Amino acid sequence: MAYLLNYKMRFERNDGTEEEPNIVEYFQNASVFATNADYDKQMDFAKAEAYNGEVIVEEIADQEPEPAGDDVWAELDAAYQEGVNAAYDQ
Amino acid sequence: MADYVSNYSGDQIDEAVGRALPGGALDTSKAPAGFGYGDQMEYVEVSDEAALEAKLDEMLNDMSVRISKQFILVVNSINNLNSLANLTFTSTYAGGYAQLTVYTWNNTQGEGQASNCTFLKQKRFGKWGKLEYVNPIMRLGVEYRTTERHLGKPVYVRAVDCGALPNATSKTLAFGESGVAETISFVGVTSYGVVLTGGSENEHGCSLMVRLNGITLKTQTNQTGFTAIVTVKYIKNTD
Repeated sequence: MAYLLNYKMRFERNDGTEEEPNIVEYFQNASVFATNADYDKQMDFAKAEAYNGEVIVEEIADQEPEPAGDDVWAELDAAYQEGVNAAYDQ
Repeated sequence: MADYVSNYSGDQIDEAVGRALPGGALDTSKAPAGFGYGDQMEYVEVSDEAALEAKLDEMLNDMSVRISKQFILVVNSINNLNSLANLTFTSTYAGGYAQLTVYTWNNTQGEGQASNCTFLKQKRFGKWGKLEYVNPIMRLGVEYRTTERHLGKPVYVRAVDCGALPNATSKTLAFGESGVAETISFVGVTSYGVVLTGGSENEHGCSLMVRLNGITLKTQTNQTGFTAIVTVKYIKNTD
């Protein structure tokens, strides 16, 4: 079984100036791929980054496919298929 | 010969004639009054882009075609800083054409984040277009529509804080709203100063892919001690 660990990261930025700060918070959706073998490790990472430690676990049918040779794009395509949509569905 | 009907007032004609006659009886040393040249400029403060458009239309109603007006502009929702704005009424064709050019400066000491920024706004066929940046401020997580074009479409740019690099897995960040038609360029920079351009042949062994509205970082080892910011340029299928 494979998983997508979906969460929101919270950031702050200064929309003002150094003299007159205007601190604004904003959120960024993120999604980390995990397998049974590294689930705990990836969950620790996701919880550490997640706003209020909230992580939504999504089971996905297929494991991340093995890279085809040294074709990094084929490898990344597979990650993209699951990751982008999952991040958006939050 | 057809009768000519002037749309100008007597004072306007006098002033124009006076400026055209060197040494004429009328004041020849002044720029036209009321348009920000040779006078104290009007101060305009509006809350957001919609209020700006309403104010610009109000100004255009008092202007003739091919006249420019210069004024001080503050748009609270954009950067809340004083700006030098120039509004030109370019044509009455098909509902009206106009061009707004804005140069921002910072009144406070030091280098403000939003100073020295230029953006434009055009009215075409009687309708205001969206604000476009010449040099976007590039605040993290903010989408900027730029004056740049790709395949005839406006180019948007956004800098995305990706947080920590992943630990021997992939991490995907969703950026922007739906409607991203095509990514035309991207680059990442890590907190270690490493530039990510796609392949994993770098100090982090980190590959980077951007497709539509998703950014995927992938590492083969634990790189969580480093963070990354990825800047993406794209066009939208809504334009």
